[in-house]
Amino acid sequence: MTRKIWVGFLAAAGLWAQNPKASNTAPANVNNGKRLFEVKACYECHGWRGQGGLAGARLAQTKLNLPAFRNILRNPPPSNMPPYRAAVLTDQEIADLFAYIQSFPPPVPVEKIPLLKD
Amino acid sequence: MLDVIRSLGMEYCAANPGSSFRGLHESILNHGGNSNPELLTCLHEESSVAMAHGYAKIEGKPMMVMVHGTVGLQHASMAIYNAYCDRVPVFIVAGNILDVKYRRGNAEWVHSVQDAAAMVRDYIKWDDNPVSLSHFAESAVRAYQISMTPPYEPVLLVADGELQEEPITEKNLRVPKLVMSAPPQGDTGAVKEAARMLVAAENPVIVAGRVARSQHGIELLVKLAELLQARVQDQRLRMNFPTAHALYGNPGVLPLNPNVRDADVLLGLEAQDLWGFTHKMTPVNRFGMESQSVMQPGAKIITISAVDLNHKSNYQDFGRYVEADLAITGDAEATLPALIEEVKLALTAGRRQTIQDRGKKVAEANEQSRRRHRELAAVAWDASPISTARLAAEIWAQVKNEDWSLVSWDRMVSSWPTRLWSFSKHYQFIGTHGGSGMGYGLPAAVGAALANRKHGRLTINIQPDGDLCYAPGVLWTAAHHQIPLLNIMHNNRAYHEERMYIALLGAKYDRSPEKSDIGTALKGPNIDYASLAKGFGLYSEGPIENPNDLGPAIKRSIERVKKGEPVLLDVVTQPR
Repeated sequence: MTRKIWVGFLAAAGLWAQNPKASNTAPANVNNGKRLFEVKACYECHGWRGQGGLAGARLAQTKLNLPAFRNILRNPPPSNMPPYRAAVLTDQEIADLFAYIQSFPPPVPVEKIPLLKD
Repeated sequence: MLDVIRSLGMEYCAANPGSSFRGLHESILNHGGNSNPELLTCLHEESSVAMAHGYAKIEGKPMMVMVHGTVGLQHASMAIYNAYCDRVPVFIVAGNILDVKYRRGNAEWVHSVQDAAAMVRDYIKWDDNPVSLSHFAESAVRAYQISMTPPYEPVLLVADGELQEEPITEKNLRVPKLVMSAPPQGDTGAVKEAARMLVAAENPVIVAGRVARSQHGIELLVKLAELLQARVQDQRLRMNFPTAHALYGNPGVLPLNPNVRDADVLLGLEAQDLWGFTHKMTPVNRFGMESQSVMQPGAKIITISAVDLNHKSNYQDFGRYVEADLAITGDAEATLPALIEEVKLALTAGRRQTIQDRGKKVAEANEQSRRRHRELAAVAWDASPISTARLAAEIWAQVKNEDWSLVSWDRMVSSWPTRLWSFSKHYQFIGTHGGSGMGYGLPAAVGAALANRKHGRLTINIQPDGDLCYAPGVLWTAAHHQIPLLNIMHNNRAYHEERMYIALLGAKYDRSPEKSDIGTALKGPNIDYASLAKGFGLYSEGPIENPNDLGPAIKRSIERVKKGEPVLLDVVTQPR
């Protein structure tokens, strides 16, 4: 539900960048993204694998692109999450975080998990 | 005194020993044969009351608790506040020595008080300080009756040392007859008007707080919801409504009030903080908060609650004022039969067809929602720390064919049990702490497990680590009294709710959240809960970090619990 709201918010704001403008960031560093995911406390609400929960939206397998992801961090929709401005996360750090989030393994299909069958 | 207490049907008396009630203590053992009530050896007064709290929500009646009128009651006070906010009956007896000439030495001076109940009077329903045995008898019966008249609440009776220990000189002592009051029912005319509004509504939504006290209460709510084909948005403060029912509101999603915004008539039944449920606020900016209603313009609110009969001033558990269109003072469970009959009378053939069509849409949406929950549960399925969805699914696989009872709140684990399990019986869920006083979870689970014991139910407690650390001695009480209970830790190694707040506030002020562990994390060293439990005499395993080890460990533990033991599994989990 939360994700749907976010997607709707982004669409309304015209922020789905089909051709994202190149930013002034170096190539993303997944290892630094992993470090930031912990020290910037992302895992606290979103889970160590970005699985989400009642406290935060799912990040794993996000359909957002980097500009949209960055925009949510800078200007989050109404939720518990405050804006993460450049003093807390630089554009480069956001790119590193995004690369790390994209590295999360895809979930096992539900039908292959016996405990999740009806 | 004990004869009167026994007449009230008390099965147990939880107490940490104290000299100010030693007379009653000795009487329970020798005059009463330590039966009805049986004394439960507790290691902290907060545990005594929280055990009574959990017991009452399963058994539907109070447990007796004995405390010192001074230091014991001070220890017990937070747990009493929790029970008060959760509308739960607890029968508290506080020892005291009122007459100065009976006080022997300093200990009895510092343990004596002029008005013992004063410190908790804001959050109990009634108290008395009897000065004779006949006075005690009458007040004990009255206290029980008041405690068990909705809204249920704790009561306190002072047992004076002189009355407990000196020879009986009063004549014609008798045990007064206990008369239980019929619960207050809502006004007939108002109930009729509520039915008219609900039947005329295009999209009625029922918000269920502390509605059902019994299986009958659940059945009544199902009947009302089905007649109206109205979605039930359950606040999960009691086992109100079957979670697999097609009309069960979508749990475990944010925001918490997704269905409220579509309602044109909202019926709040013993709802908690209904204002908060119908409004959105700027969450992080806690001060100078902006808020607005999430309900559509013109939507109507009906409330039915007995809590209006017992408001107090100091503690603010009543929540923000609800601008209801129809407020009915009365117990919701007691009022439901009349409301159901009025709804039946108001239903025309035309409305019945419209209502059935509405129900189909709700059922379809719910089925989609259930599928979505399973898909989300698959994310991080193999993660370590273990995901809370995996934790819930592994437990469910082992207990679903048992007669089970989950006696812990599940929001700390992202409501995964509510989202994945099928709850249908009144003892399968007992809500939460009431006053958000930490330290409730473990002792309440022990008390609930004690109530479940004679019914042969398998009691499960998903136990947060921070909550356990307040008064873990209740593990020994469970072992000592052979109370079968499966404790499975949700060990995220932190007071995690507060850790999130600190991180979020840091970011809000352009400060890095990096220090949010300070003052909140429970690591360095990690707490070894399995060893702690073992030290208190429990079978234990852990820490379990590999999700593939979890199922077999639960299975082994259930075998021990079925033999009558409490068990603890320490599971290292994802934060939420």
